[in-house]
Amino acid sequence: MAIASISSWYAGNETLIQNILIYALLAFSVQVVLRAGVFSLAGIGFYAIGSYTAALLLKKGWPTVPSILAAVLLCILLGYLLALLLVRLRDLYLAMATVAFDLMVGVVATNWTGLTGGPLGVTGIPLVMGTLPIFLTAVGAMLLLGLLQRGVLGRSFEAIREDEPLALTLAIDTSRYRHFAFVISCVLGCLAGAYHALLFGTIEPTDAGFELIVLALSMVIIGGFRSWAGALLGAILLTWLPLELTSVGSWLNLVYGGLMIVLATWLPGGLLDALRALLRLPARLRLLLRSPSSLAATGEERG
Amino acid sequence: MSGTDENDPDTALQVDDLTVRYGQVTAVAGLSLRVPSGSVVAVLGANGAGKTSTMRALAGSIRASIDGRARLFGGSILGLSAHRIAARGMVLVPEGRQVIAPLTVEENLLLGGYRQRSRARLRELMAECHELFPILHERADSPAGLLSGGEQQMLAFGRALMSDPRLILMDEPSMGLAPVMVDRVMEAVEALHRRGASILMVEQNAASALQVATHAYVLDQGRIVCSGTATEVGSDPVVAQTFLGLREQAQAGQAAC
Amino acid sequence: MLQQLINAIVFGSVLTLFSLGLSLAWGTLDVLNLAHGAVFVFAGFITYELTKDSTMSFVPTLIVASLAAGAVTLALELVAFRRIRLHFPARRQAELSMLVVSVGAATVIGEVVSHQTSEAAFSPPASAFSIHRYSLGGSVGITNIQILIVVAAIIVAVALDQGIRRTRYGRAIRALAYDPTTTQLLGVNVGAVAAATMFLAGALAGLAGVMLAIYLGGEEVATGQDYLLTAFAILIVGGVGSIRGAIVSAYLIALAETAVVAYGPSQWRDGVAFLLILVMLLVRPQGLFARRRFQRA
Ligand SMILES: Nc1ncnc2c1ncn2[C@@H]1O[C@H](COP(=O)(O)OP(=O)(O)OP(=O)(O)O)[C@@H](O)[C@H]1O
Ligand SMILES: [Mg+2]
Repeated sequence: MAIASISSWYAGNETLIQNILIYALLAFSVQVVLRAGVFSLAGIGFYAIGSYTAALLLKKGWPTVPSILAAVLLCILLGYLLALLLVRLRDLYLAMATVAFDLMVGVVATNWTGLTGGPLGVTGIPLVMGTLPIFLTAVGAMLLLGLLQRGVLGRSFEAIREDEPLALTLAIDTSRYRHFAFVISCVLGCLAGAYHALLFGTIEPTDAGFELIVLALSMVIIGGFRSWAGALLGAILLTWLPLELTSVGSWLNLVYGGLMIVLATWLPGGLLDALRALLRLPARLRLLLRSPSSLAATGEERG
Repeated sequence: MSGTDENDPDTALQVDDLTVRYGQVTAVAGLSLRVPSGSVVAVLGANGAGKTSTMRALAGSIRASIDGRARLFGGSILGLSAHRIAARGMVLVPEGRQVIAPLTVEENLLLGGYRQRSRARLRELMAECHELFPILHERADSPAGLLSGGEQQMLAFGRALMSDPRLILMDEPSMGLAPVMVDRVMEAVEALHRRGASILMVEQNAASALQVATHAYVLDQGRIVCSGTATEVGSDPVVAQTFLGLREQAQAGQAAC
Repeated sequence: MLQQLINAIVFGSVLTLFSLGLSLAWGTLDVLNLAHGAVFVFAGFITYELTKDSTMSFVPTLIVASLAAGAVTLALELVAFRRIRLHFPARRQAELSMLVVSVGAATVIGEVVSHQTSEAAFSPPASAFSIHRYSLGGSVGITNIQILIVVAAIIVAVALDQGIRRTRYGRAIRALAYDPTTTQLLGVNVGAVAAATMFLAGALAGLAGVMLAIYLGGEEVATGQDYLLTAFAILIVGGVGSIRGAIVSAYLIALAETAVVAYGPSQWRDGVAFLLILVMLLVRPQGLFARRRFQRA
């Protein structure tokens, strides 16, 4: 009975779930670098590269797994090269360079007609993807990101974000960590793109444009960039809300935009932080009743 | 208490019960002091005593919670933003000089005179600056970041002078300078004093500071532990021992604290 | 050939007006304002609204639309950027937050404009500005709006360059870019200077937006993004915060893009800017025209 209702709910929402999983991968790809203080949005460019590579190989007759693997390998290679190229860039410069990279990928995809099909994109890609592999990949990504948030590794990333020169003096090889985060981000973006192409069967060169950058960034910022859970929350909300809020309809983007302004200004930890604060509220109230002065310590905002 | 006189014309700055807290850390705990008009007041304190916190709190340039009262020529200033306090005739020469490195020496000076609306007055002040610190004239067009530490300190003084201040706060003007340079800095402090400004200076270099000061306070862990005329404080055994490194004199002197 | 050169100069002038504001905001206040393109289109939209029923003539329209663009940017500064600068002491966090705010603002402004225009391109009526063409012999010619754009760009560029170099306000801006805390200690009301700077940046984008709407005969929301990306390339080539660098590279890039469209594979036009960004970042990340840099304390 329960199983039947779950499976019928699942059948009705399968596309939604698939979309959430794919966007979660993309959001992870942005989160993993932002957390390490690396302002890279290159993941979106690799979304395009991944989708084209996997789709074109598959259409050439390659089997599914090798196609995806080849796409991932290509992305690792290109990602590493790009990381080397951009090694001297920080902060806003890096953000701008990676946005330029994303758009450059789009330009190439639109104009290299012989390979990519030009403005028409790629159609008729065999639909070889199921939900399970995507789900497993997403879970794997969460485990990896969770691991990166903990222990020595997590603290190193945090140190790099907060104060890179200081991290250097603590004998943290900052550029190795930065490269590592960068390449992971590229691979996650690549997988999201490849899965999307193989699941829905078409690619357009404008898929991975400015709008996707904005969407991925909003997911991470609205959910909370300090942990993978925030990125997941953002991916779920921003994929699911448009379906629920049909009454808001075309004003939805306005809501996103407004939410981004409000959150970035007042709540840099995103909704996840707000949620956590809410959950802590009862405990803090109790604390307040007992000793009012001790609140200041726990209530301090963390940068 | 000396703080009862609300509009005492002889008082440039009256600070009562100043407290500065950074979260749980209390850097300054109920500090009171008075800068008489036309005096040079030195506040001596070791590293971490709360000198910079005091100066920045008074100048309105700090991110911390502040309590207490401070009156500049009778007007309350605590809680005002830094540029408003500057407009009232008090200027801070910050710790580490903080010249604007990419701007030229001349531009730094002009920036110091930001609130001088009259060009003629600005020229007068500039001439005065050049007379007092000839190096600022010689190096007028070089970026301030290329000056030596001592030269930068002169620039920081010149920049303060350009605002034509009635009270100058100085945060460790001798920091990081060779002994010869420290003497020159103290001469410059005297010159600024002769020109008519009252001066409140915090220093670790007690010997030099006490030479130019008329009054002195000793600050320890955010509290004033000793005060008096410069001579009184200088001859106090504890001060002599901790700040001047003089053991013999320590026995000879009289306790002021 | 000559005609292409004229086109390039006009295009470069629009780019100059557009990118100066972006450079100013980034160079002095660490704001990479991704809403700059949306503000630019917003001004074109205001122009359209004011002129579509032939109610307002050109000069008042130009002024109102530029001021409106300035006001929108000023609102962003007062609502968000100022707070972020005050409350997020870590510079990197502040930069990221301001970037995100500007992305949000770009979305909001773009959405409002596309709703009001039903997501179509909008064009001010021909009556808004009667365009004359002056022949320069043969098929070569120049229109009055083109002349106006070039003249406006030259006036703005020279005024801004000299203003930043020589005036009291200009010194305050440069000092603020280097060290806001000390600048305020010297009596500069940094909040007001920052607000004025953002207003100016927005108004410049607005000026460019109005003139482009008239010149091209129409704009749409996506126009803003295209210009934004070209402006990135200009900032990178010219060096962030360098007024002269921005001016020179605006004309260089206009020339390069015009040449690609006229003589090269025209569909790669957009590629010019991105390629320049990547190459410059590799070879000379401080920009072609940057000079000595000082480490901030
Ligand atoms: N921003 C801050 N946050 C937290 N604590 C601070 C901050 N600034 C100063 N403190 C603490 O306040 C105390 C006083 O610091 P302050 O800088 O005022 O000392 P100081 O007398 O100027 O020392 P120094 O001679 O080294 O310059 C110190 O214990 C310091 O650690
Ligand atoms: Mg100090």
